[in-house]
Amino acid sequence: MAEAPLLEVKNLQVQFKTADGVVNAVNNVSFSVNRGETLGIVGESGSGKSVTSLSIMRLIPSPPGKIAGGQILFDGDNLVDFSESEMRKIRGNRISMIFQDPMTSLNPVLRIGRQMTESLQLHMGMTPKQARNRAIDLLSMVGIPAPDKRLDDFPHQFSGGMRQRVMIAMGLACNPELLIADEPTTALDVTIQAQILELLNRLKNETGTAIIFITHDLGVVAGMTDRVIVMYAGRVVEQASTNELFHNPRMPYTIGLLDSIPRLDGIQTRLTPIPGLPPDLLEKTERCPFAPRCDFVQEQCWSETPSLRQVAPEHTAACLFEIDREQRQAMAAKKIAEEQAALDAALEDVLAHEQAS
Amino acid sequence: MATASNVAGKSPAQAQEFTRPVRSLWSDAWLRLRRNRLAMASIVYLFLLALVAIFAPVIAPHSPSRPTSTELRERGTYRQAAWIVDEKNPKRSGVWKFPLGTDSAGGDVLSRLIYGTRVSMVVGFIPMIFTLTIGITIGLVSGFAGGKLDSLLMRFTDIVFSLPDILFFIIVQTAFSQTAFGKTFNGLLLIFLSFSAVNWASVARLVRGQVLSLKEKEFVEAAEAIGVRRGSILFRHILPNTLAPIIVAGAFIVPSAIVTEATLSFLGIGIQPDTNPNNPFPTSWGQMILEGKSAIDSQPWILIASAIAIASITIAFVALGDGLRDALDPRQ
Amino acid sequence: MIGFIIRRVLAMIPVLFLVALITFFMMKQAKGGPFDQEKEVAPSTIALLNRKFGLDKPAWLNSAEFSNRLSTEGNPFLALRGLFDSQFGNYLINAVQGDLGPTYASKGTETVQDKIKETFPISLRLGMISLAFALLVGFPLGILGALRQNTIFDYFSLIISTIGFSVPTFVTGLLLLLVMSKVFDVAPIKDPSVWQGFSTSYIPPAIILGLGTMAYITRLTRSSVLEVKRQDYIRTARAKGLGDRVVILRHILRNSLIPVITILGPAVAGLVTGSFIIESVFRVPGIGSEFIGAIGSRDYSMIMGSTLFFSLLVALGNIMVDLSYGLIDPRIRNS
Repeated sequence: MAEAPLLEVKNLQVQFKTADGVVNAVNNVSFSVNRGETLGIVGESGSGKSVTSLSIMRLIPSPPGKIAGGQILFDGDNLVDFSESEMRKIRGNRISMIFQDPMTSLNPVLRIGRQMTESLQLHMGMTPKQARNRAIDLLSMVGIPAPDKRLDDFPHQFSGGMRQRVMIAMGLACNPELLIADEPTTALDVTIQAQILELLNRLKNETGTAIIFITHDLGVVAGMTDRVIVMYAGRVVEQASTNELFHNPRMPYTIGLLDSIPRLDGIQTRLTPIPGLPPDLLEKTERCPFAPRCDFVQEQCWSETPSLRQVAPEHTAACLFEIDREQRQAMAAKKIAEEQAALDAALEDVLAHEQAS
Repeated sequence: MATASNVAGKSPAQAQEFTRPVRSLWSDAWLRLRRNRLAMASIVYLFLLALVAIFAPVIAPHSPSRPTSTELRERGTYRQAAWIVDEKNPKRSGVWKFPLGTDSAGGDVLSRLIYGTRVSMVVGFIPMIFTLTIGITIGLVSGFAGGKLDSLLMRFTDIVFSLPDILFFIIVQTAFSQTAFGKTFNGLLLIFLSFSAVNWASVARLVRGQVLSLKEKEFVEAAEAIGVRRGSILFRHILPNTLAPIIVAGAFIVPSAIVTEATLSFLGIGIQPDTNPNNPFPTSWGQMILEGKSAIDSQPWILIASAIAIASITIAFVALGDGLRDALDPRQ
Repeated sequence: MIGFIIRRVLAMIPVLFLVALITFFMMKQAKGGPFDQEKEVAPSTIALLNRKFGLDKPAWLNSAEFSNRLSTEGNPFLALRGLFDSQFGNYLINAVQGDLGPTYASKGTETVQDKIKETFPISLRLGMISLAFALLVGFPLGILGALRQNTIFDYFSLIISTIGFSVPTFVTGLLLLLVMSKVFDVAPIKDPSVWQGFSTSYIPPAIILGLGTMAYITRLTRSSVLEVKRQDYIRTARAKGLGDRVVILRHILRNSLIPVITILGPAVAGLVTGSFIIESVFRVPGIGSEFIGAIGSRDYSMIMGSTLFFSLLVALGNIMVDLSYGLIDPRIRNS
């Protein structure tokens, strides 16, 4: 337990310069990943989860993007200080990444074999022959039939699910210590999604690779991860073990997320969506970023940005108040009752009016 | 406890949430265009040229056409540009009254240059309108109607598209330039028509492609689903969405038409020289380059001045076209 | 593949037919025949010349000959040849066999195809050098501009390409001539023998002729590389730890070549049809100069013949380009 984490992100700050001003895409984000552990990062589009993962790979398009502060400690080394050539020895070798859209993530004019072997030859110093054999092994490992023949095919000859398998095989080629999967199933059909998740779960157990699993789908998180961090507006707003987070969410945003998906455990609850839109990251304000959409908002929320605080053992949340899920449901029920009452009153009004005339 | 402060807390938030002004596609594009310094400089330059073209009679120091015999005595022929002194031949030495000198017939080069702006402006814009009108019509009809009509029109378009255009212009000019029709507006009408007769094909292809892809879009399906008439779908939903690429295409047609006229005039088969002092289009820059070419050794300034005129107007239009393209297509 | 070539070659036929039709129609509209030039020629001589060149026959369809043959032969299919025994019909039938007829200017002693054979090699050399120039300068300039976006390289490549793209070639050509004669004191070439075989004399006209194409290639390459640079698969390649050189050479360049190749057809066409202006500016005795000369002297058979020839070249260039797509883009190759 005392072992140092494989990856430790400390106070990461990422900014993008745009025509309208500086966008603070990632704000003071800290988290860590242990060896062999699977960490889920959950958040809606624009919450900064992809930017965070690209920062770890130092693949932020620059300009306009730039890491403005913080540390990314990988096995004790700060990647932020690494030179581009030092970083190249890490990428695809010790940390590799799988992207969202398998349809566009493979080079259309190069054969699959060429694309798979290039990192093997680069990082592991394999001969073309050795690399090809390794690529065949990798393809059969991710469940692609007749791998020796498929190596000579072009990406457009593969289906979406098959391409994502190829991407995973490419990601695992050099036995990385950390695999970052950025929404690897979002672009796929539901049945294919399940197959890919199953494959990732199996490979995780076989290879012992640590995984950062980025998604906006809480259902996927439940089945895949050991721990979860929830991101909102470029900040980490809650962090807990997967089990704890699902049973005892403490940040109103997480509560809102959980209330907006159907539960499969038989408990009948009403689905309540989160109103409004995420905030504009252009403005840097001293307030809770979730305040405009929060059901529990207080005066204090407008003047103070809450930082993560311990709410339970191994569980932190960025909320000034002690909120739990029951409160929101009670409130929702109350709101529904009020609405119903208002409707009834209006109906009675109409009926009374009709009777009078 | 929550409800009261809830209301109190929420109102400033609502105001704060949408502080940035809501921008339309067009105002966004305009903003991007305004940030493009080269494009803005081009707009200013072209605007000035347009003023020069309109007010040519006021601006030009002398009449652009052949001088009367008394004028001729003062002007002299083959006079050098003002800053060039010809000691052997004082009659040809430059004077500031004729800043760019005079040509073989005693025409003031600067005044001709100023009047030449008119031809380039007119020859740029009118064929663009013709070309766009034909191209948009055929492209819309073809893309929207589909079926046999579409394949027939596209066959025809493909054939026109593969015609080597400059050859076509040369042949048309050779064939018609001596006819009454070919002499209308100094031959400008013929140039307009022959240019538009070939260049609509690329516009038609572009518009058809746009219409075909827009027809598949959800908002068109939605309009169909709620029973909007086909005509309204075409003009309210499809046409406005093809506007951006059409504007860009139009911006590039202008310099290409200007170059075409200049080239034809340079070959001696473009607009026809006219000695009538009341003619609004007495000369063109292409023609002046042709004259400058024969006087390349004795009076290089005729060539240099008209070459700079042509080069700068086409560069300005192309830079404007580039700016429009970048502004309307924000992907880059 | 072979089916594709056959289809494309067949698609050329209506284009070439239309070119012939338009050219012939236009030439009939033109005022002034080929023989009424400076000197007064006796009407009997004109009649003789007209007869010699078949100009005494009807322009489009010879219905008289048709009915004549119909009555003598009886077979309507053979008689059809009579219907096309017109100026246009005979011209087409001969042109298909490679005979473009005698030039009017030579009064029948020289054929158009002889003239083309004599002058085209010069134009071809000029075109080849300028295409090489356009490719060898255009690609690197565009790639450099895109890879070093918004640096001094980029601005340099943008300025060069905007000028080359906008300014007509005869303007740049004349300015170059002016600079050559005034600054470097190089006299325009008068000796026609320098154009036989490759020589340095080709370089100035070839650069000017290739300038527009070079600029177009630069612009297109630049925007294409910028587009490819943003693609997900380039991010994938970088995520593998590949170095810049490998990413550029292996992943970016091949993908960005695809759209550039699509314009090589029109580019070759531009070089072919643009050549006659440059040839006349630099006094290159190629087919372009011949064509300009023919316009001046109203040598209709020469005008028609070279127009058809130019159109054929343009059409063939387009087919070559379509074939080359498949070599570079596997998605097209397999479909």
